[in-house]
Formats: sequence, structure tokens, C-alpha cells
Amino acid sequence: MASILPPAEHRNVVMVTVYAALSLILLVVGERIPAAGLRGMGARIFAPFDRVAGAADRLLTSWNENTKLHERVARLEAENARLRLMAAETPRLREQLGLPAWRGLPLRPVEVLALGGGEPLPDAATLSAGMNDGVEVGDAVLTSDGLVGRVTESWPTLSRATLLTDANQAIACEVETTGVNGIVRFVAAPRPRLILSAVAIADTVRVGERVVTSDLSLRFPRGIPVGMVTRVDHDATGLMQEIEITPAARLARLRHAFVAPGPRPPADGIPRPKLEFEPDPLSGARPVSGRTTAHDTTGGRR
Amino acid sequence: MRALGGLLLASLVALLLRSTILAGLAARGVVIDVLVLATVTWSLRQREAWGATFGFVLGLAADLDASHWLGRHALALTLLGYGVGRLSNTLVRDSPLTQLVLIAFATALHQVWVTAFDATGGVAGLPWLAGRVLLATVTTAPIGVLILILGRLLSRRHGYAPGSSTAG
Repeated sequence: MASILPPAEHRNVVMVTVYAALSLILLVVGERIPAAGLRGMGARIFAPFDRVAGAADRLLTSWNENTKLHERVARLEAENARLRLMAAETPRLREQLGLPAWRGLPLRPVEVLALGGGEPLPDAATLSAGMNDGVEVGDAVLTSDGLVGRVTESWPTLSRATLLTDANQAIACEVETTGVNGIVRFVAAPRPRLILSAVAIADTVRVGERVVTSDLSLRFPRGIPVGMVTRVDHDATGLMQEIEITPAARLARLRHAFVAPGPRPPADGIPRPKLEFEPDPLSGARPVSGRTTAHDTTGGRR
Repeated sequence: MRALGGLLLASLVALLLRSTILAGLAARGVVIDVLVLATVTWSLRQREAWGATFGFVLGLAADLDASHWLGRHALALTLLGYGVGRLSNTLVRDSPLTQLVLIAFATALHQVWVTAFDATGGVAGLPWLAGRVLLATVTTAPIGVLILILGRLLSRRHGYAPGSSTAG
């Protein structure tokens, strides 16, 4: 080849071959390379720029958002007053039924600095808080609308969350009204969508019902909204249902989110589902000091 | 040294756009392949050696940003950068039509390559994937040409004539 091509061209061909070979090697063995450190370095480099870009974006949309938020606050305050009345009754009723008490979910507000990963839908997000702020791998990431994903990499001042749109995520969920259990996962083809799979054909699920995280989940606290049923169909085998759901959180427009501590792994390292008679639905959650809570603790722990 | 600085700056801008504004647009269905746009623009100006290097660096950074398939973008963008750089030696690089065709072709190739990794739905998924490739192509190509024209007007440089710079 050296005899045919001029030296500069030869050098270019060699260079491209090296790049292509490196890329091919990475494609084959890339999954085994621990890239979390590199991603952390990248996140640190990009964080200031992401903050500037995010601030400009927020500035442009702040007027509309402010109006909407005012309306929402008024609506939520009215709803909150009604819920307070009900909350006073709930602990007594749960005690009479012998059910464990609900605990509040400690939340840490974080800023979503950047979305990354998948195409066309992002499957990861860089968050503005890290290990120094108490954010750990496994923590749930949610917005006021619902579940967004979970923290998969945590660095001192930043962290990275894998979103629901990552094809490798599988979340144990249930239909809120009926308690029908299933697994929510993202499928990219034939078109990108969230589906609730592994639902028996005999179970009744209706369009419009809300899907929330289940108590069977090893990674997420119970009761976080995940989405709304938009279509009910059979899967390829015809033995199970395949239920399409619309995400509760607006994954396309993430700016702020909350991090909630995920269940702590057991001492023996073997994860197991929570049992029905466990005294506390969030028994595995790490205690977090100085965090605000989403709901008041309704008291009455047995 | 100046080219290296430019390479890093262009990569930074492309990745920043991709992770902020364009990510939101993509989730709404408007896919602008900024990786291809940046690689083609860079390769047209800097020829194949820098084009391939830029493609590799940008692709690797994009791969690191994704959770899976390290090397996926790097391979495609390296080859695209090299190919476009080579073609720029013989094509009239100032011609908007040439640029439109180049960017459209490069976007289509890149999108086909990228979607191939998501094509787990068999034949049923082909219409959606074809739609995604088409959408990315028809949005990226005109925007790319506009950026190139604007860039040329702003910099008032007309150095795109064939043979105006040496390859490598």
C-alpha cells in the first residue's frame, strides 16, 4: 500500500484504520470496561456549561412556568386541605385493620444538568448532587409527577441517573386500583414506549388506570407513580398481556427532580422481596438527616 | 495546536447542544443529528485526517455519554469524517447542494447504523426505524446547510475551493 499511496495519504489510511480498529474493539469489549470514572470526569467538565445552558433555558421559560406553578400551588393547597382530613383517619383505620403504618419518603431536590445517552429518547441524566450530598447508587429519582429512574453512578458532587427509557431497566409495578402486578420496561422497537409486561391474561386492566411502583420492587419505594395505561393488548405468545403506559414524569423536559433513598442491600448481599408482614413498607430505606419529606409521617407505627 | 483547540471546542459545543436543547427536541420527535452535522462540517473544512480524528473523538465522547455500546458512534463518525474529508478534495465544497446531499447521506448512514442497535422488534419495527432515519435526515440536512452558509457569511472566508488546503 505504501508504494501506491503518497505518504500523507498512507498516514491518513493508517490513522483511520487505527481509529476504526479501536472503535471495533470497544464495541466488542466495551461493556466490560469500567467507564464510570471517565463519565464522572466528563460530567465534571460539562457541569458548568450545562448549568449555563440550563439557566438560559429556564430564563426563557420562567414566565410561563411561573403562571402554571401559581395555578398548581393553588390547586394543590385545596387538595392538601382535603387530604389532611383523610390523613387523620388513615392511621386509625390502618391500625384497626392491622396494617403497617406509611412512612414519609425523604426527598432531596436536585437539578437535572444534562440528558444523555439514547437516541432519540435520552436514557440517562446528570444530576447536580453526588455522594457528598448523600446521593448513592440505587436511589430513586422522581419528579412531582412520578418516577424518572434511579441513580446508577455517583461521584463526589454529581451523579448519573438511568432513566425509565433505558432498555435495561425493569421495575416491579402494580396497577393502583386493582393491585395487578407487572414489570415496567422500555422497548425501543417497533417504536419506543413503556410497557407493563408479565401481566396474566385473566387480570383486568383498563385504559386510564394509574401504574405505581410495587412493594415487590427491590429498588424503589412503593407507591411512586410510573405512568398511565393507554393501551391494553396481548403479547406475542397470547398468554400474557402487554400494556402500554405513558410515563407520569415528563422525561423530555426534565429540569428538577428529587432523589429518594433506595432500599439498603441486606447484610448478606442477597436481595429479597419484602414480605407482607414486614412492619414498615420502607424498612430498607436509609435514614437521611436534614431531608424534607414528601408526606407527613402519619404516625401510629406499631 | 490551533486545530486541536478548535477540535476540542467544536466537540464540546456539539456535545453540549446534544445533551441540553437537542435532547428535549429529540424526545418530541425532532431529531437533529448534531454529531453528523459537526463531523461533516469539520471534515469539509479540515479534510480527512482531522475529519477522522474529530469523528473519533466526538463519537467516543458520545459513546461514553450513552450507557451501552461503547464504540458505536466512534466507528461510524470516524469513517464518515474520513469519507467526507476525502470527498471534499474533489467536490465543490461551497455548493449548498453538495453540502445538502453530503449531510443528508451522512445522516442517513449514521442513523441506519445507530438504529440497527435498537432493532430488536424484527420486521414490525422497520417502518418506525425508517421513519426515524428519514426524519433525522430531512431535519439535519437543511439545518446543516444553513449553518454552513451562516458560518461562511459570518467569517467571510471562502476557503472551500478544491485544493485550497493540503490533505493530512
